[in-house]
Amino acid sequence: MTELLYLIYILAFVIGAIFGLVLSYKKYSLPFVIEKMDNLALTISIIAWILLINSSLIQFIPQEIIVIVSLFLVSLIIGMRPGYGRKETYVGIIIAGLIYLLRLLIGGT
Amino acid sequence: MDKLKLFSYIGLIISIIGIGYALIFNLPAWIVYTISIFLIPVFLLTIGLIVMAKPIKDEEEERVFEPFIGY
Amino acid sequence: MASILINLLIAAFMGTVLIGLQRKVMARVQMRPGPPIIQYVLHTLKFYLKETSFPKTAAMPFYIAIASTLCAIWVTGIIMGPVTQGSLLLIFGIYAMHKIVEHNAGSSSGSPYGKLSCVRAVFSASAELPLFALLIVVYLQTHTMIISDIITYQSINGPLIFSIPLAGIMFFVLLITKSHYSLFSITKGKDIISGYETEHFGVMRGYLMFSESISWYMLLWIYLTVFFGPLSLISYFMGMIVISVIIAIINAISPILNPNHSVMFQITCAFIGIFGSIILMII
Repeated sequence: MTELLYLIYILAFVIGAIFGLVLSYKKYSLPFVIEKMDNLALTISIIAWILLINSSLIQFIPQEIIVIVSLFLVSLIIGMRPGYGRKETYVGIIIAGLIYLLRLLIGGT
Repeated sequence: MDKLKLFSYIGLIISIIGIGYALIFNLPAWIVYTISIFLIPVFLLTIGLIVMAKPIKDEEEERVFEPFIGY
Repeated sequence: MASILINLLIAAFMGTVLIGLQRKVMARVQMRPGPPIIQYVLHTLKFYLKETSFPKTAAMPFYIAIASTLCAIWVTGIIMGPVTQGSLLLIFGIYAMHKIVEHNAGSSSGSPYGKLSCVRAVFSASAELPLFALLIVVYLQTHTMIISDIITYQSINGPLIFSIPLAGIMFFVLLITKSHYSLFSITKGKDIISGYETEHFGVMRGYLMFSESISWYMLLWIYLTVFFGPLSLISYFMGMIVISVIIAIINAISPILNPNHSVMFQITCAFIGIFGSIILMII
């Protein structure tokens, strides 16, 4: 059962990456040149990484579903057209990491 | 239907039956391993040969049946 | 059977994503964006749907059988590894068969590039020396070749990477050998186009790529299991990602070695690994 769950996680990642690639090619017509952050991608990235790293905060939805959705959203941003989505991913990781550290400090364990 | 397609379909049907049989029924371990080692590759190969792209009728002669140019 | 199929799919998808991640990291080290991480997945699917034809100069049915053999041996690897945790010696047999497949895929094709790669594959069987030496060292340390017993040994005595570190380094060199774009990849160097895969195109190429991604996952799985002890699935994935990134950084900053140098480097590593480990065990 655990193995089936991990297969679903990996499939969520791959399918999210494919969607990210297709959608980002529709959105950006040029190869990556200008270093500007996309607000929609930034929002999705922050939500996705917070859900992935701090999934135990939400109790009313099963953990597995949260991880599947968050992996899909994470790979949506990571899998964007090469060059795009980098900064959004870094910001998402940093914010999610800070929330995790805060939880550790406040929660104790 | 040419020979390749015919053998591919036969291989596909045999491998689907074998893998389905091993999935549904509780067989001894060595039979399951034998079926998976032989029939999973056949399944993947035959599916590939069946779904692969087909050449345009006019070009088939020169693309598929290449002349031997020797080395 | 369900366990075999699920593990096969995990190995295939995880292997392709890891190979794609390697290419991405290599590109970033070289200060360019690189392809998307799922590039290898997309390539495998693309080739799978392309037309293949069988060259007149290819040795039939060997030409098709050898591609099927690669898939069959890695399905065996999945059975020996994650499913039954069987004998390490069988895994060595599978690697020897992989080398044989590289050799025969080249010789079954009519292309001169394939034949050159076939010869180089035999040449680079020196890469199997570290693997063989490693099995001896692991056996001398744990007195068993069965993976499940090695895991039990490690849960009692700690990870093997600390007790036989030189063997761990030797296996790491073997990992580099088997990676894509590595410094030892003489069988697939661009001077011989695609090496033994040159005349296996279309569906055959997609088939070979699928099996290679399973082999990459299995190699990392064996390394993590034998040297880092009992791990949860999440730790496996994290470990595989870390090792792939490290190997990608090494591959990005090193050129492909000339066949002679490649072979000598691998033999030297095997030598240092086995004799160093035995001396450390005696001391």
